[in-house]
Amino acid sequence: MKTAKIVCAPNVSDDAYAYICARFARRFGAEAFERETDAQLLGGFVVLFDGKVYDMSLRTQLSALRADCEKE
Amino acid sequence: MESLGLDITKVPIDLVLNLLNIVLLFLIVRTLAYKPIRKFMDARTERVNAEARAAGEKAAEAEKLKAEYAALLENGEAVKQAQADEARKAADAEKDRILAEANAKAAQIVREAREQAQKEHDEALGAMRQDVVDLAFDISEKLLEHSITDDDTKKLADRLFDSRVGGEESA
Amino acid sequence: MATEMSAFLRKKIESFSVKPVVYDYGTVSRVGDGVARVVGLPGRRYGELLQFEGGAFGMAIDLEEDGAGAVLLNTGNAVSVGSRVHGTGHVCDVPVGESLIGRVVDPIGRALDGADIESDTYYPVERPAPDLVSRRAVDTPLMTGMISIDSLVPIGRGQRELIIGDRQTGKTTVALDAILNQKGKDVICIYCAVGQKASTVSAVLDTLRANGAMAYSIVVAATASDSPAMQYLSPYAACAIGEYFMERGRDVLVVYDDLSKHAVAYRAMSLLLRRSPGREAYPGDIFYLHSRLLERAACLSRERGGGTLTALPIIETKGGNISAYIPTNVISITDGQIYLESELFHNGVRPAVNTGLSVSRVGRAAQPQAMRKVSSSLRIELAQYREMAVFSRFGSDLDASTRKMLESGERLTILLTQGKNELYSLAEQTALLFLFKNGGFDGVSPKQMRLAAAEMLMKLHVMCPDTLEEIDRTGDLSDEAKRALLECIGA
Repeated sequence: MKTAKIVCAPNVSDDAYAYICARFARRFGAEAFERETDAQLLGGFVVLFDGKVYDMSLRTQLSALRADCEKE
Repeated sequence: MESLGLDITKVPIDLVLNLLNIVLLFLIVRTLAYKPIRKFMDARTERVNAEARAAGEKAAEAEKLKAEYAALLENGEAVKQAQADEARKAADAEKDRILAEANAKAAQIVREAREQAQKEHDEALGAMRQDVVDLAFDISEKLLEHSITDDDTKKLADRLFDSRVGGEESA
Repeated sequence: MATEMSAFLRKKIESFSVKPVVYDYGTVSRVGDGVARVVGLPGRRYGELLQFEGGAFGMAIDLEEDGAGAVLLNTGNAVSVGSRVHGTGHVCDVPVGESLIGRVVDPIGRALDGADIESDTYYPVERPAPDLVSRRAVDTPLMTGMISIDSLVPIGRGQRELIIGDRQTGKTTVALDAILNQKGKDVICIYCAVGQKASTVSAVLDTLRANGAMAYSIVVAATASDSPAMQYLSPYAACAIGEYFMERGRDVLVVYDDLSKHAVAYRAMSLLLRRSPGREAYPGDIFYLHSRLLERAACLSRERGGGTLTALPIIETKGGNISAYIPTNVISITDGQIYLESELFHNGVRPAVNTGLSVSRVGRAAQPQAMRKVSSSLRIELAQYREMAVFSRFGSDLDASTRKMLESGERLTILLTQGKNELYSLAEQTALLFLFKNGGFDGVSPKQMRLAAAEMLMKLHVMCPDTLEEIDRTGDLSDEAKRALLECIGA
């Protein structure tokens, strides 16, 4: 069974989590899901599935924006 | 002697002997003294003439040298003048060169000072920008943590699943 | 200023778009002794730099079907079982450039002596060696300043010459003297310490600083307390730093001190990665470990800039056994070896070069003309002396000519010795050997030989400095120079 691990920020509600699972299953064919919470994410989520990390956490986005600001 | 009205028996023998003596003496002196003395005199004359000639030649040579030196002196003055002109020209050129170098150096110092000031300004600006960025992001993290909503989370999910990443949608 | 900042931030925010970040990941299934086993991580590449959760870095060097074995590069950060790992997409690299000259760095380019290294250029530590058509024959000498080496085992720029011997036979001293002799010769020197004690590396650094060698040298250090991965990387990093200069037409000298410890570190890593052990427990690719390193030393063709990279690898033997596994491997790779013997060392012959077993395969092609003229018969003379010396121990009466040969051989042996960090220029070496051949030291007792040589040198510097300068400048010993030298000794 293809299991995906979804690491969410604490502010992700069950409704939002269910939405993520449904869309992920439809897009990548995951059959089961594990939920984990990580406060460091600030918001958003990270999905680990089939050797790949799909990072849509706020922390990563803010880090990318910060790196862009620091570049110039 | 009769033609002269002279009686030969009445001529005194002393007179004849004296005359003979004188002639003999004359001949002897002429042979022994006159010729050497003449020779000596001639030689002395020759010598004097030669010295006079040499002196004349030396005088002529001296005149010639004097003329040459005079010419050289005149020339020397001209050479000296030419050298002085050249030295003056070289000094002027050196003065111009030193001035140009000094101006260039001064311009370089000014340029470097401006560049340094600009660099320091940029560095200060960069450091300040870094501080502002750090502060802005720290504040953002604090705010976003509590202000993100479910809608925002769903939008993030849509952004992921609508983009071209990884596998295809299964039926 | 505030408006400027605010406008800047606004511009950045408006131009930023939220994008998903996707990358491969693996999970640490086992970790210990500086080695981690990672499961997953599709798309992994050999030598790829991996980042572990928590900030530690490692290098993938063992690719398997379902994962990779990685060596940890910094052990300060804790890596635990279950940690996530992702690939960075690029191989291990090191900063290179002029800014490294005079600095002490570790194998991943971090400064060990102060301020960070500033460089815009990075070279991967593993790089392919120059191909066949990019090379040319070694034709320029690299003078070491040691008369026994420059006359009998001459080294050329672009050559690989092994320094091999038991412990405490002066191997590092020979290498350091070679570095010190490059002062003013426009050669960049790199000293690579692999698995050495920190106190030893510190002493080497003191020597380099005291002699002004840091003005043209770089030190790459992975001491005994560093992880096997860092010790493994150290020579490759040093070589990459040297290649930067070589590819820009410069001459470089790299000392690897020592490759025995390098092999031991690699063995430790391989065993921990569960690779099959071979002979003496070394992995099967132990030869390739050193061959791919030493092949990067080259003399580039004029079309490629004409730069050179000379390698002086050091190997420590045990009990004088040069036919052990690692020594024979490296001997077969290099272009010759300088064999330092314990017995000679303890008898006061220093550098303790065994001239019978030492060889330079480049040979006279890379020797200055002056040295060639005065050293052609040295090897034979020394060989004959050694044979006679053995024979004379039997205590039989010796005829006058044999006694004379023995004395001459003994004088020559002492003439070839030098103090630590005491270096001779080409002219001084040539003059000493020339005068020796022409009876300049006849009648000097072996005990007085060192003093006589020193006095001779002083005399030469006072009486014919122009001749010495001419030899150094032209690299040749003209007939006029020979006459001048002979006049000095009143011949």
